[in-house]
Amino acid sequence: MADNLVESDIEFVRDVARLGGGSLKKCFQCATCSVVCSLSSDEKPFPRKEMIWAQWGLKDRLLSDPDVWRCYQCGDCSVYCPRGAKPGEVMGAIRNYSFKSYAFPRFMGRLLSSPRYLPLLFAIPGVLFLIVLQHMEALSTVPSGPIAFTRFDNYVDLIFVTVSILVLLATGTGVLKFWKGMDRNNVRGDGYGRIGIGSSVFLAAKEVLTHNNFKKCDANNIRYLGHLSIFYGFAALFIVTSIVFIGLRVFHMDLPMDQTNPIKVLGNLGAVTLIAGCSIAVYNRLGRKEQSGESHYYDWFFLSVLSLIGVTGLLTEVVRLSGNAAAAYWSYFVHLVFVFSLIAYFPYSKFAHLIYRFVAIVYARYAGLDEPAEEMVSGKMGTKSVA
Amino acid sequence: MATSIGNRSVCVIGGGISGMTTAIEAAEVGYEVYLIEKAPSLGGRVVQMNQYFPKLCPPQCGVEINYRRIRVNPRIRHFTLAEVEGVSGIPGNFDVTVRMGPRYVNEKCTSCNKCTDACPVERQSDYDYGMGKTKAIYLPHEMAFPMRYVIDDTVCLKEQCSKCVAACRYDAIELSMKPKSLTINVGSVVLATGWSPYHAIKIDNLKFGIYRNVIRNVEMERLAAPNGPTKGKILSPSDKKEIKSIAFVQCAGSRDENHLAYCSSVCCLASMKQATYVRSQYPDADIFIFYIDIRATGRFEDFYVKLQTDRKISFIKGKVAKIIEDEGTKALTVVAEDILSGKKVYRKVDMVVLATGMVPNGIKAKMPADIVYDEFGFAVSDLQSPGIYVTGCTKKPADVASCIQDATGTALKAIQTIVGV
Repeated sequence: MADNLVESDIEFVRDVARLGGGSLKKCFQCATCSVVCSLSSDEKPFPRKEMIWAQWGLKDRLLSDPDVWRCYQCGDCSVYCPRGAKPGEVMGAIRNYSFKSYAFPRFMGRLLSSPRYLPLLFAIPGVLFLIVLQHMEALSTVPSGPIAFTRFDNYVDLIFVTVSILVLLATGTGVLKFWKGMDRNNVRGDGYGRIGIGSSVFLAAKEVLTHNNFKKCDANNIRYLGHLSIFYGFAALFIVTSIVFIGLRVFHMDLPMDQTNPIKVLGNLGAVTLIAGCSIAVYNRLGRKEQSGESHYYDWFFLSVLSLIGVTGLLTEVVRLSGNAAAAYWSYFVHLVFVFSLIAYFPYSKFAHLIYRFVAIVYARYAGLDEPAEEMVSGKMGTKSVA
Repeated sequence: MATSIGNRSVCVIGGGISGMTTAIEAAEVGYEVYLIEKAPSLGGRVVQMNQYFPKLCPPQCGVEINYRRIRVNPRIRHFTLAEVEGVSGIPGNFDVTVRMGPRYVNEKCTSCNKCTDACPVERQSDYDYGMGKTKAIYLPHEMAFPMRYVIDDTVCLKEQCSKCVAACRYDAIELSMKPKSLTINVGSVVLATGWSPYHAIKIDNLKFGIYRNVIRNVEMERLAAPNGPTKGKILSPSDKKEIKSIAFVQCAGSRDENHLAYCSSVCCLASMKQATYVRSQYPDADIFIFYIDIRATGRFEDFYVKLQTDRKISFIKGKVAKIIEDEGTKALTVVAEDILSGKKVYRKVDMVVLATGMVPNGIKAKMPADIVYDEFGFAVSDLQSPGIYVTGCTKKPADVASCIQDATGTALKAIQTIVGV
């Protein structure tokens, strides 16, 4: 019986409201949202249930709810909502809360949750890299010789490898908490465990790579386009960076690469795609508010850092090619500050949606939570529909 | 002691159930009344209903009694096809300008129907919400008051045709009739301009106007009415076949910021009433009523409870937000989330009735004092405009019984202005 007691967390309700879900109390549970959503499943539709859980302060339920992450926030539910309760934005706010809640160590979650700490966030890498420059005696004099960023590699790699290990640990902790929560709260469909964990991971990866569910949010396909560009732009850059890292450390490859080098081409292409994707995302958030909803600090922090990485990266390359050594090095410096901000704050910022969403999809497959009936999505008559 | 401060007559704008009631109540205690109606017949929306709620009797009885009270009362003068163009003056002394449209049929008409037989032109019947047709010369409905034919001059071929004129043996048709204006002087004015059904095409996800078998509650009244387009048989609009199942979609555009943000208060009971129409014709039909909250207040709850005992009427808590049409059979699948089970439900039905709400008509004419409307267009308190009162659905969405009570009270208000309490 104790399981059925509702434990309401008022502070949680306030937090969700602060994190972008201020409209949640307007919901009167008509469930229009669950029906107009292209992704909502038949057996466990969302976001109607999430709305009432949020109103009731059922934090534990929401933090262990994979459906919170199956929403791509196309905005259909908010457009059709008869009360202006904006379920899409509330779902986003719950995700923001999750970043904070799963954060390990906890204070990092707090640092990323409010613009108050923004100067500190950038100061950390800034100071760190200044110390490196000071140590290399490159702070007041521009290094002579051809412009080569590799001269800082030992330190840069040391910092980034350390940070990456910490980030992996922190992310692992968060993901474990999330997975255990989902399993504990018995969020299971009829087909629980029918698909093995390996196949679930494969299916989830397929969904992420193809963006096929994101695409179903067809009312807002400009978001789909933006996200797809950012995703693949970033992926290209990530791959190039990894290749270069391994190439340098293992094969002692020569840098900088020639502009015709396929790796270089991929990198440049990635940067352009990333910047284009970010531009679409910014346009969508500023110019199409009715559909995209209000954006929160979480959205802006992540989008800004991504955009700035793209822009400063490209700028650094251009300046380097122009031969102005001082400008090139400082540009590289700024670029690294943003790269650090993206990687080091991964588990606590919106960037973590990558992993939580992925895990939620894996869980959804594993737990047998169904997909919306395909024929219903496409608008044709289904056979299973008959009562 | 009450003293007269001016004109002792009342002008009632709108000849629906509220306007007729105010007019009759005021006239029957001795005051002169002018009743202005823009349609060719008095009666308003009520005469388009199949049955009154909750006694489920046809409107003919109630409306017929009111028609008779008007007919026998020399103090009531009624004008049909008449619209108020402006009101000016002060309480006790208002001038009301009325434009009377041409009916093209004079008082010699005996309603013999020869003109209609002769008429070659058809028009959509507004009485049947476009589901049926009439000729260009037609009787507004079978118990129209006045019982006189009328020509729809937007479609009539007039002198080029004149077949009706030739067919009429009483010289009742005057194709040259022109609009007339008149000014009446009254002591007080009552607005009873009523309501219109919500323009459901705006609710794009419910497909009214796109899927033929999606209709509104007002159309359902006509389908079930013996004098309706199907002679009272409820048939699916697409193929005119008998139905096996039907879904009622409550709050279709109501309690919805994107459409009508308010509750029209009558639609829950209207749908339940219409469920009884279906049940009486189809003992085995599956009836689904999708709702957010059933609003059956006071004694009306008994009606709700009674319907719940019908095992083939399902009440499903969850708003229908998607309707899918089978391209072949034109059958419909309504989709909702059943909130009580937390699962989506798909119900395949032959017909869907949207419980659309009431939109206040208001008045366009220039008034001496601004009528204050609330954010939805319902006229609020008459205190802003002394001598001018609002009643019935001009004020708020209401059922017939409430309108009659309200209209009776409004008659007293109108009289008070005249006698100067």
